[in-house]
Amino acid sequence: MDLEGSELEHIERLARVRVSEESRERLRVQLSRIIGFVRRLQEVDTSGYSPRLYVLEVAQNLREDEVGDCLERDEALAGSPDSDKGLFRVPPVIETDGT
Amino acid sequence: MDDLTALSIPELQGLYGKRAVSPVEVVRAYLDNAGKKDTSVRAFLHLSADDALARARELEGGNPDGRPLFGVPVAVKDNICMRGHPTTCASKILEGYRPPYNATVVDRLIDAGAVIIGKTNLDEFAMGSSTENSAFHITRNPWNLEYAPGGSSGGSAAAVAAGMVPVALGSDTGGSIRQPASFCGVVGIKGSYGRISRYGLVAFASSLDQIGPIARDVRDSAITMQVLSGHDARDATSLPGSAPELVAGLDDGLDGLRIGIPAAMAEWEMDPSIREVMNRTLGELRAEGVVIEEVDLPGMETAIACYYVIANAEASSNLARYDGVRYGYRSPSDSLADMYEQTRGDGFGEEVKRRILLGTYVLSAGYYDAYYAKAQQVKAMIFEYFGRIFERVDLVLLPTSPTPAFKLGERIDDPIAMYLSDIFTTPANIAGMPAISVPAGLSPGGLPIGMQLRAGAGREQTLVRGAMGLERMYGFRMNHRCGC
Repeated sequence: MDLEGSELEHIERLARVRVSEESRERLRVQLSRIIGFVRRLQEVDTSGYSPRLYVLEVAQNLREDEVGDCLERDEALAGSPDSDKGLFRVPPVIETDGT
Repeated sequence: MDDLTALSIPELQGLYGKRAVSPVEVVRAYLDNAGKKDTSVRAFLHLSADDALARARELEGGNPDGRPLFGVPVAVKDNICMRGHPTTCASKILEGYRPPYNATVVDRLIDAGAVIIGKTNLDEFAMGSSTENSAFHITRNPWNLEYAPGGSSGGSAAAVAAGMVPVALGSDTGGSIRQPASFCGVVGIKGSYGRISRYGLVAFASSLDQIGPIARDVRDSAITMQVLSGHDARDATSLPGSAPELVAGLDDGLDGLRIGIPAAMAEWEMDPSIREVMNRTLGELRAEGVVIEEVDLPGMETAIACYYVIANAEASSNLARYDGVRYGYRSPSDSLADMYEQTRGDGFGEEVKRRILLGTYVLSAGYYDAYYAKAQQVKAMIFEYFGRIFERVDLVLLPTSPTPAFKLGERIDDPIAMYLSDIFTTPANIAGMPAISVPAGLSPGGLPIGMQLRAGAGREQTLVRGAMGLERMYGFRMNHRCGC
């Protein structure tokens, strides 16, 4: 099972992870091998089994919806690489054509 | 006074009770050990000697009653949050991050009187089986410095094996507590899914992750497990009700326990030294009159393929939060989209990127049913298998890993070979079962070999009782000393 270079680039965009040009081919080969390995799942006869998304059969235990302690704003911002006036600061979100 | 770092938790509690020793003396003794040994082993990413001594001074003269870890030094894997202390997950993307809150397990350790002395190394975001994927440095196996300590909790296992702490916390998503425990000749427990709160554990694969203790013997592990276990409203997957009492029944022995062994084991690939220990164990158990029964386990390679699809799919979703905005590292850029891609490209190491990309692939349009939904069906099958098995037997016995520790560098370029080192451990995570690794012997090369017990979900009591029986039989700590 060979992952195409264009497929890898598509996944990179979906995952928002940029891969360096030097490592892309090695990564493509490794991912192809891993996908080949996990493809063996398709040979398993699972007829009669529904996908099991949960782990243990216990009822959802939701806590009471009560107001509790929460982080102060300064604490929440303290780990940010860039913040200003109590807000996270990021590069421009809406890109313009420069006009 | 004899070597304080050789004492078990109950021995230490006995001395504290008589005021024959003080927390500062004990913490100092361990810090001295860490100072001497960690220059070569490098188990710690951050050692907080000053904070640990300050905490020990607070405990001086205190009453150990009702505090089962009073004055016990503990190391914490660096993917568990500690307020104001670095928590990096051994990743560049979290370098410099100091969480504003404690994980529930950290609060529980502190309430029980423990002294946290530092944060231990791991494979980046707990992804790996050798601790070589740390962005900061590798950790070496204290039994032989040329060998890997296992992973991903390799720092915690190595710290315990080298006598830098009596107890450490690890996390286990596919074997990351048990496999390093096996490689380093110590005990490691992964509890039932939901037994220990994961509030404050940096998420890798949420349907599989569990925190657990690593210690030198079963009793110390059980005491720590008891402290960590119990319901926590801050973790929606936390099991309701109270956790089973683990320490009281520890000495009940193997009498009356039915132990299952994998019927197909003769066909499994494993190192001859591992097979030898397994066979010897069976011989001794039979001689003690324990009932051994063959059971059919799900196909091992199918289980590991199922594991890598589910774990990486969940990881690709969980690790989406590292976006360079709220915490950690950011690459400079002129646009938001470019900043995300560059930050994640520069901040994550190669194995993490590989897994995020694989996880994204199996969740992407056109592949979801073939991989992710199929893996969830295989998971349902694995559940059913184990459900049937634990109607017939109390415990399943098998090796923890197919090999003793491998050499540093030996598998790092071959992801599948690395993944297969978890082949005996991942099914317990998939099915939410508790499992333990107990040191059983040494390979001809002098490296530890661990044996694993698994129990049905919720049966930690039976698990630690069985493990205690094995530990007595092996006498590992009486017969072998780590040279480091």
